[in-house]
Amino acid sequence: MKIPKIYKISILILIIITLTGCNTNYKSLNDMSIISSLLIDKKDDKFITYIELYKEEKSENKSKKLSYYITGTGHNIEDAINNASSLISKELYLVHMNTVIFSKEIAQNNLEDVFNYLETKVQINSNYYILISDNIKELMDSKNEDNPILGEKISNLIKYSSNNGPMINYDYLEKLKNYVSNKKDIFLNKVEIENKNITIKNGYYFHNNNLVGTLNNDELKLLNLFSNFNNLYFTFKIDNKQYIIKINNCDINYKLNNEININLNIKGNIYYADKGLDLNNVDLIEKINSHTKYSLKRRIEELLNKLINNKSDIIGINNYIYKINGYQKLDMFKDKININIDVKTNKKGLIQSTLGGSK
Amino acid sequence: MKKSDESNYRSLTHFFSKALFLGIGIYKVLINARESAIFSLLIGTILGSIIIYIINKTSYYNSKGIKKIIMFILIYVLFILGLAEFVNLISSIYLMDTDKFIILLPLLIVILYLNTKDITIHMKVSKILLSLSLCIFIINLISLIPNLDYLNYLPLFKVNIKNILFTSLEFALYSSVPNIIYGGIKHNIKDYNKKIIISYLLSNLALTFVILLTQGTLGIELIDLFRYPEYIILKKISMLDFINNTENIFSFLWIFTMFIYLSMCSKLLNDITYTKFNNKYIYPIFIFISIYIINNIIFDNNIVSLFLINYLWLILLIILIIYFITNINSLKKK
Repeated sequence: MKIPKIYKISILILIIITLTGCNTNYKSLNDMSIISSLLIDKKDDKFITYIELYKEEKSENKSKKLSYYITGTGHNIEDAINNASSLISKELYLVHMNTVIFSKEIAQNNLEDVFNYLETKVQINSNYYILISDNIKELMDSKNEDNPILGEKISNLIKYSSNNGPMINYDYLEKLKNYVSNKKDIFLNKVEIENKNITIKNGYYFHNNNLVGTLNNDELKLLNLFSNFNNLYFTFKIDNKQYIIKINNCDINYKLNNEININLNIKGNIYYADKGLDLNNVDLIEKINSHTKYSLKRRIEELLNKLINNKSDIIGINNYIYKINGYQKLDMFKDKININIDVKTNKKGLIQSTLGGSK
Repeated sequence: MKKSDESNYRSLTHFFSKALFLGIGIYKVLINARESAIFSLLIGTILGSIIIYIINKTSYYNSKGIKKIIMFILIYVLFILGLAEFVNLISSIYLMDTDKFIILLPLLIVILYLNTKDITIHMKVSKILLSLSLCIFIINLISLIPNLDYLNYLPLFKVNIKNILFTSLEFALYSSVPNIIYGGIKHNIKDYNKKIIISYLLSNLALTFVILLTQGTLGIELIDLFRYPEYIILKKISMLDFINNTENIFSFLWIFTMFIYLSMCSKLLNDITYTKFNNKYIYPIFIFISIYIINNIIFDNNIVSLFLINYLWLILLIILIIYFITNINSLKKK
């Protein structure tokens, strides 16, 4: 059956028109306001949302990327965002959102509202971070010329410095998974202002999605160790002299007998050593290995005790036991946990010895 | 049949077996069989191969009278089921604010245009899209493997055996029933049954990878939350640190699948109508009018959508039983 050319052309034109999705709701990029970060607070039983939007400032031949905030209040987060969006003549576009930050009060009482809202916005890219701030207003005012966009600054801070710091580089889907899991608890980083700079040093941990405590910088680094992040830096002191171990690899094995045995096989190298520590001395290297081992073990035990006291399993020990056995053979809150660490350090790189060391 | 035509013909199995998994099949398999999904996939594949073996023994391309009408109804139901899944996917992912009939319009036009061509053209298109699908599939596989967490596959033996067996039945029905379309296509392939079953097994292997990738990346807890977990995992694809947000491109795999499935259903419906009425305009008019009505009753109805998620297996089982009863004669002859 031959179809005349005119019909073929009309079919093609019809397809081109309809495939663009140009219905009555057609929107161009200029009609959208791109969100960089979403900040949520609560006051007088009402949600307040501060939405950071991108704007472009053109001067002479240059254009600069900046941001500004719009604010809305409502009985729920959706309502507050809708009220905020009514202030601008454009549609809010969430796809490129970098961060969602909410206040400690929300974390204590309304965590469910936040995750409920984010789950309904599933079409958003999931590569954004969820954080807590004790002072949302202060955080909003921390923008300066060097960091004109809050969301981008925080996102980059997490992406590019998570190895050196305590930040857990997990995106929204990972957090959501811990939130819905009844075996593993959620942990969220805390974003703070220190000397007018944004820092992420501490974090909050939860039990059954209720906020139960805070973790400091060192504790968060240990948590990174359990999360299989590589290139972590730990500082130790031996004979009043400091050295830094860069952990390249950490294998974690669980052995479940009558007790929970967690074996950590750590491989790393001595990244820095104070003057006077002779890195060519085999005895000293062994001493450093042994000291690192006991020091790390003590720190991990302290962290575990803190978590056990608050009944929080952010490491996922109980989850692991359940998954491997099919039932809760052992419970980290009831049974004894033994930490066994094996540390192997080598000396790599261009430094043969430290100043004042071997000669 | 030439060797190239034969491979084109066999490429259809890949799309038929996967078509009804979009949006419903993968979600149902993982929700019912949970961590034991792998067992359901294995049992389901064996069961599906048996069903396909019997289906391949039957044919209806030269059927007449009431049998022809029944076959028309069965394929039409399969066509509508596929269309419902397709339109739901597009309106959930790509065109959220667009009316569903507007979404369907270009698809129907292309399908109806393709219907005017010989069935060998369909098969050639299928082969081309299969090659493209394979490329996308390999990229998806390589990019998603680093996101897998082996704990998401455990514990293996926690799920009730009844659930595993029921999910196997569901899997077998979703993957094998669309293959009844083959019965309406004339062929002269040697060792036909063996070749189609090998194609079916290969297609199921690819499907198993997709299901296991979804399970390993998201975990059952997150799969519980999402309607299209097979699409959500594509959000995790990130290459060279700058290729992000590519889920809409990589999900084209499913669009290709649905396009071939729907165009083949439509081709058979068109051929049946044409031989019955000897008029080439009746079928396009019937499709446009019926889809317009069905769009308002079924596609825009949440209750129907929920019904399909829960009872698609039952609809497919009924289709299969009616198909066997209708074509029992051709089975006896062979």
